[in-house]
Amino acid sequence: MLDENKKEVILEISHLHKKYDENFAIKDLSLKLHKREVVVLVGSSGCGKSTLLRCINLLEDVQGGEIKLCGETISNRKSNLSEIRQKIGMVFQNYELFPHKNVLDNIILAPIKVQKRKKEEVIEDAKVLLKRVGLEGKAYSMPSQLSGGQKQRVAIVRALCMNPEILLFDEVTASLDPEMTREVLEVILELADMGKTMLVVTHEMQFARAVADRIVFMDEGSIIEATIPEDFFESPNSEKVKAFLDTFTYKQKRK
Amino acid sequence: MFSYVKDLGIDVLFKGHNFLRLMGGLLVTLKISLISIAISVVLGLAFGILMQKKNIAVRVVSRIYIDFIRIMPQLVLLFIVYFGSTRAFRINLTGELSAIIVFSLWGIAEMGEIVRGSLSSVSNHQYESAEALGLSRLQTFIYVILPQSLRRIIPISINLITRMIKTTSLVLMIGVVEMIKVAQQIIEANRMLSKNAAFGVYLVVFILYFLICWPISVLSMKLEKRWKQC
Ligand SMILES: Nc1ncnc2c1ncn2[C@@H]1O[C@H](COP(=O)(O)OP(=O)(O)OP(=O)(O)O)[C@@H](O)[C@H]1O
Ligand SMILES: [Mg+2]
Repeated sequence: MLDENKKEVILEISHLHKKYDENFAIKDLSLKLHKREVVVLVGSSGCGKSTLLRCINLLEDVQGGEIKLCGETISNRKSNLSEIRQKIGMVFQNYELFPHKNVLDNIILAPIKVQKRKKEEVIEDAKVLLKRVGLEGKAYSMPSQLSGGQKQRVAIVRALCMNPEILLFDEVTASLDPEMTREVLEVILELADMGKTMLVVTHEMQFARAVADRIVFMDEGSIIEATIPEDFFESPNSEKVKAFLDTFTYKQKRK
Repeated sequence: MFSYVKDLGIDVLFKGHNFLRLMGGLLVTLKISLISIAISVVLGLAFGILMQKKNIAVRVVSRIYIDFIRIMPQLVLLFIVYFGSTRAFRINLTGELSAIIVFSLWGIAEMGEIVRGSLSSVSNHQYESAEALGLSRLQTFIYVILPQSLRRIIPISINLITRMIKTTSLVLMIGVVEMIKVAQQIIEANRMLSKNAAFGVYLVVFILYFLICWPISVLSMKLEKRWKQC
């Protein structure tokens, strides 16, 4: 923790406010992510986790505060969105691959069209990444021929292939059954080992504990607690966190 | 063999230049159809994209335009343009030009509606995933939204195209000599010689329409089937 100041800051959010109509979805939220850090964002449904990621990725405008990516202010930008989004890899809950393109074409579209990289070079990268997530045999399959877990792994590769500075994951396993959830989470764990900077929203507490450098708990648009996983799970400070963690355990009824 | 031909009344087509004349009529039918279809496809695509705009004025005007075209029988539109243009603007449009104008107005309206429907049926997530990857609005449209929409647009618009080809037969009412008009003239001229001329000539007309429209329908069914798989 001592050398924290020395580490490069990738994402810096300060006093962010986001309103939908008259309701605050995010209230005075500040958060910093350093290079190679994995922050897991948890909180009950509707607390603003997705909204926060969408603001970072400039899919939403904000009503106050500031978001900086690699030192550059990006919030409420109207031009050069593309330049910023290239630095942010995002994977959504509803794996939205492009259904009319095969796996490989899904992955190489943005690197070729947005980053103007050479096709052969991108294909090579894509194949290496596909192999890493165990999908080397699926390069020419259509999305409709893949399982949910496979689609989600392709979506991760698609984001990775842009070489982003930071990866955002929004409940990427929410619609998957346990087996597929595992294969996707393994991939994210591996990315963490590789030193990727990531902001992960998940409801899988076991996974959160395993992958996180820091766990951030949100409630009603604000951060209530931000701490290392051990403290978060073993000795949470706030009652709200305790109540939240309780929702994941079941008390035995019959003795 | 020849007696069959005679019984059916097809023999009149072999007299003089009758068959060639019928083919000439077919060419007129095809000319009006193809020009109108080409205009409809290009401008209809633009119209459909325009209707995606949230602008109220654009929405109201396009709604009125589409509803007006749909309510009016094509024949009435033909009369309005053909006779009305002379009255109102003192310009004499030829029947063919009037027909092309009317069929284009109709085609643009219907095509626009098809395009708008197909574009808006692509889920919002598709726009967001494309934009999240850094694709610009235009790139998102060209590489992600349009190709998915085309899979819906093409089969439905083929149906529209065959309807347009068939409906061009109405232009004989404003004096355009297309295939049906030629057929009528041939039958008229041979009424005394061949009792069955009407049957035979219309049979050939039927076959000609079929030969044009059927391959188009088959193509659309094939495309639909192929695209359903992915
Ligand atoms: N497009 C929108 N328009 C209006 N309100 C919205 C919109 N999107 C989200 N909200 C509101 O903002 C708040 C935060 O929503 P958000 O989706 O960020 O929650 P979340 O933490 O991701 O929840 P979940 O765990 O269920 O995904 C909610 O109260 C929600 O109703
Ligand atoms: Mg959410």
